[in-house]
Amino acid sequence: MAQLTRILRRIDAYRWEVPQDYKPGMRVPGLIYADEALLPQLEEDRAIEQVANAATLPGIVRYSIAMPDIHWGYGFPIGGVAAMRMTDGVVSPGAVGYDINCGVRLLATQLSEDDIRPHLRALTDQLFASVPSGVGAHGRLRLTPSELHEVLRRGAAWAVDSGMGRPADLDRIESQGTIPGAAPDEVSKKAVSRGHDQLGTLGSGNHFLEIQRVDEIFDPQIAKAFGLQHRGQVTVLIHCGSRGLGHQVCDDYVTVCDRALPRYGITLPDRQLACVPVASPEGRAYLGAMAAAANFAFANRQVIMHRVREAFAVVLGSREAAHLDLVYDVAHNMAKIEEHVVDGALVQLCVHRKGATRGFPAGHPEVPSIYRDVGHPVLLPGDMGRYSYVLVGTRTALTEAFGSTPHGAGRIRSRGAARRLLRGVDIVDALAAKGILVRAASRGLLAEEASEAYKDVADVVRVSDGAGLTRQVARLRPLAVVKG
Amino acid sequence: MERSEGCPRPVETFEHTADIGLVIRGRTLEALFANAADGLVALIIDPAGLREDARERVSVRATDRAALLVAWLNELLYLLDTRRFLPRRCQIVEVTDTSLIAVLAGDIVERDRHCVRRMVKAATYHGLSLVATGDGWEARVILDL
Repeated sequence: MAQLTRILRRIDAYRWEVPQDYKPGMRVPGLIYADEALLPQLEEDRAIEQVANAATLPGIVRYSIAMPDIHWGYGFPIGGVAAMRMTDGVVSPGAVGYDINCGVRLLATQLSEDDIRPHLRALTDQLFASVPSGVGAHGRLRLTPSELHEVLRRGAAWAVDSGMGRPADLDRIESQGTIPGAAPDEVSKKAVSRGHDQLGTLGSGNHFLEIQRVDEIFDPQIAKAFGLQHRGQVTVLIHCGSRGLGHQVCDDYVTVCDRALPRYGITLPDRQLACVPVASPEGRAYLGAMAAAANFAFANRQVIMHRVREAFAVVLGSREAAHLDLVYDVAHNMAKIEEHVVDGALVQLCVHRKGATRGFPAGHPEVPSIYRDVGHPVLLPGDMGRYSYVLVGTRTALTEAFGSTPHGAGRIRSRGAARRLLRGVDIVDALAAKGILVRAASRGLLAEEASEAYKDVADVVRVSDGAGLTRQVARLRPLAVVKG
Repeated sequence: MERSEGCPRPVETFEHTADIGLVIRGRTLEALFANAADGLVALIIDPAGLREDARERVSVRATDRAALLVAWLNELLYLLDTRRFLPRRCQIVEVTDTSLIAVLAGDIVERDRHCVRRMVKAATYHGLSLVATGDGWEARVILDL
């Protein structure tokens, strides 16, 4: 902590500045949202270096920002936000991440915990069977090239038109589940070949599908607007992204950008930050391919939701009992072209969010009309042993952090450290003792994803709310978890 | 299987908060690249369960040796995703500063036959290095999990 307080300048209890002269090449200062309780975790990994490195990117505006769930990533910090001018700024595939449009989707049921407890094991087993996960998993759908082209172009809308969902679902997805300007032709054949059988699959690592109950409602009016009616109400949370297709798009374009650096006269402190001017042919190609991969992820979560609805109907035996409404779907790895006020003028920016969520407040035109009075839901998954949060974004987030909010808990331990700490502990049994069922494709590695590996997401919410970026709406606790 | 001779640990992992790093050594570049494949495979699956029934030929190109290592590992992940293939043994036929050709003998991953460990999303350029040492070559690469 002593080292950190020598580097950081305290702005207030929740804001810390990395001075612009901390590292050569920084074009703006860094801004870290944290409190004194969270700061020591930053000292143990290299996140601050990565905040400083991101500040060297050409065209960056105002600050290299870090949300309270910040931790060391590969190049750009997880929990990082960087907005670039369109005119002379860059786009960096590494600042979006390999899992393009990794994101979270929340569903609300009409059921309560008492309704579901007798069926929980059957439901969990059905979900584990219906939503493949882990190494080597592939989905039920085998897309033809033209079908995959449409998925990349239209995202969740393709899935709805293919009978997997309701038209009203699209109003409850960020960007209506379709990023405009998607360019399927900029997606390589290799990426396409990875994606053709992966729709409807969960992935692995920290991805999951969770049956939950509403544990606490902090803002009843906003919770009701979101469809979260009462404590004990059953919800379902889905966390996954664009799978191998997205990973390939990122790898392809990190390589393109790495090769293009000398041509654009860009030097970087970290090769993984490889970038090109937003307005360049390579930049436009990446944004088109990224949008296509993002649409694949929206379609993936739409198909998974469809499988969840089917699973509930099968196990509960009635479509009425299985009625699940989509609350919202947010991305937390994305670059978006947005308008923000900078120095008093409305400016178009390329906003990179890697492990950060867009949280636009009440009244913003990009908030769906159903939520325009309150702001759209911001979903913060915690670890599988504790809780997740539903929040709403604020005008402070909009004016200060380009409408950005945290994305989850953030890790505090490496996978090796988590395994060593929990050696001899059966995570499945430990969670069962807390009333949480787990079905995992790789049971032996569950320790890597245990609570001890993550910050307490309540601490992240405390800082985010304390800084005025968000307001908490509800807390959700896991009843059952499906993992890859 | 290419193994370096005289280097005590051809592959080690190092800690990263969210992901994982590999330190890879080899007396020759061929050995280093083969050991890198072994290290990647061991993160994903218990290699003892892999047969050598399937064959693949790989050719990758990159701007420099370090980028070639990233391209090589990502090509193996591509084969896993598209063909469910993981190599048990890699013969590096040819490696230059910017290109590599390899012949792989391996297996098709089946969940009920193999002890699957974890998925790896990609090899990254973060903290990447590949340098000559007194004993041969050493590389560091961080993998996104």
